[in-house]
Amino acid sequence: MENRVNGLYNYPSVIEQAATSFRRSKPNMLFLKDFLEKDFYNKITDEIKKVNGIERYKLDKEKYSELEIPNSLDDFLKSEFFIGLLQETLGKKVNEMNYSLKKFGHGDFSLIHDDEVLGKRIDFFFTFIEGEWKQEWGGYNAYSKGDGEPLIFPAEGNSFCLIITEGEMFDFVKYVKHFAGKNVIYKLEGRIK
Amino acid sequence: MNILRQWINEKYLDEEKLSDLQWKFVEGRPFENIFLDDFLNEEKANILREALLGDEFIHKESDLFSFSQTTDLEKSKSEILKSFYLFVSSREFAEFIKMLTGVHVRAGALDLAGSLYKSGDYLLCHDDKLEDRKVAYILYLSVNFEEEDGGSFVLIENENGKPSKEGKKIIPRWNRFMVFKVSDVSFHAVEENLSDKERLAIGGWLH
Repeated sequence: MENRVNGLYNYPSVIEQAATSFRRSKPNMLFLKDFLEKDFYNKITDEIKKVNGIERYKLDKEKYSELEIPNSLDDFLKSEFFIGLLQETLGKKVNEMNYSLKKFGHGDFSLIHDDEVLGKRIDFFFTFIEGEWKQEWGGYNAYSKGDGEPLIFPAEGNSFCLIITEGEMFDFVKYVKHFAGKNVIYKLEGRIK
Repeated sequence: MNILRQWINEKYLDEEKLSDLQWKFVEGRPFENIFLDDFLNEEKANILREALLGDEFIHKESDLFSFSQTTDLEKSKSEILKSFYLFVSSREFAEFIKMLTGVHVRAGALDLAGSLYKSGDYLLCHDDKLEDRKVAYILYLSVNFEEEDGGSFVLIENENGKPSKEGKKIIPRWNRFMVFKVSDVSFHAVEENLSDKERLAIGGWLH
């Protein structure tokens, strides 16, 4: 399994450093670039492009396609290595997690919805992109608390993010503008219980 | 009536005509609305556009929107924009709105700002409902906007009080004035501006 992640993240000291950084940040968060091993990342991205999707569209909530999760990605998410990484970083046992794979293209979004569960939540997401993506096109994940500036995670292919939300903190995916053309961005979004 | 004649196209000041328009407003679907073309006297629309373009726009972004807006024009340094504010806040304009919509609004109780949607800007579905807002009004001052440019105002239908599907679209044509009644179901959106044209408007809410 280890060869499915960037060699850098195989070193216990690097994982320990990431876990420390996670615990010290407020809110607790981790953003790792080039997370998967390059060939494995490309393989998953190729597989994702081929899977079927169902459009999810609620005018006041969201618009994107939900995709079937390729076996290779599902296996990785259930792997000892990934669960171990989560447990090491969170400092607790991971009993259950839910996740879904979403495709965002021009006109897609997900909005803050104030009827969602509030309080402490543990979220994670992976980003898969084929080719180019610019931040100004949208499609990035953000977390917002009150009227302040939202915490924005760049839409960067092969990145992994883990965050513990605090209090009334809501997440959204920024509307994808027409500048994206036919380009799309894929997100594996999960929540840990 | 004098201040109305200074600003509004004479054809909208006839009481009988306004009574007909009120019927159209009330019958507007999916919620009470109406738009009036060539609303301001052409000269006033032109100087208002020029003055608005000279004002400072601040870009705003959230999950729901991306666009630029002026501060409330009550505090504008522009004489033209200030005089427009005085016109919209006048007793005569409140009376005009009552005749057009049947909704009683208080003179001088309003919000008024300019908005600018550049290429890629948008406003997703929402209802505008805030305590005390009775009527929303928008005057479009963009030039040569067509349907394929995006930027249309979209009225959204509802099912059991929840937004369900897109309804009528109003293209932000030059000197078009649009009014709708704010309610729990006045769901609407502004399509993304797909063009390189600037979608310029001035408007707000009457209380």
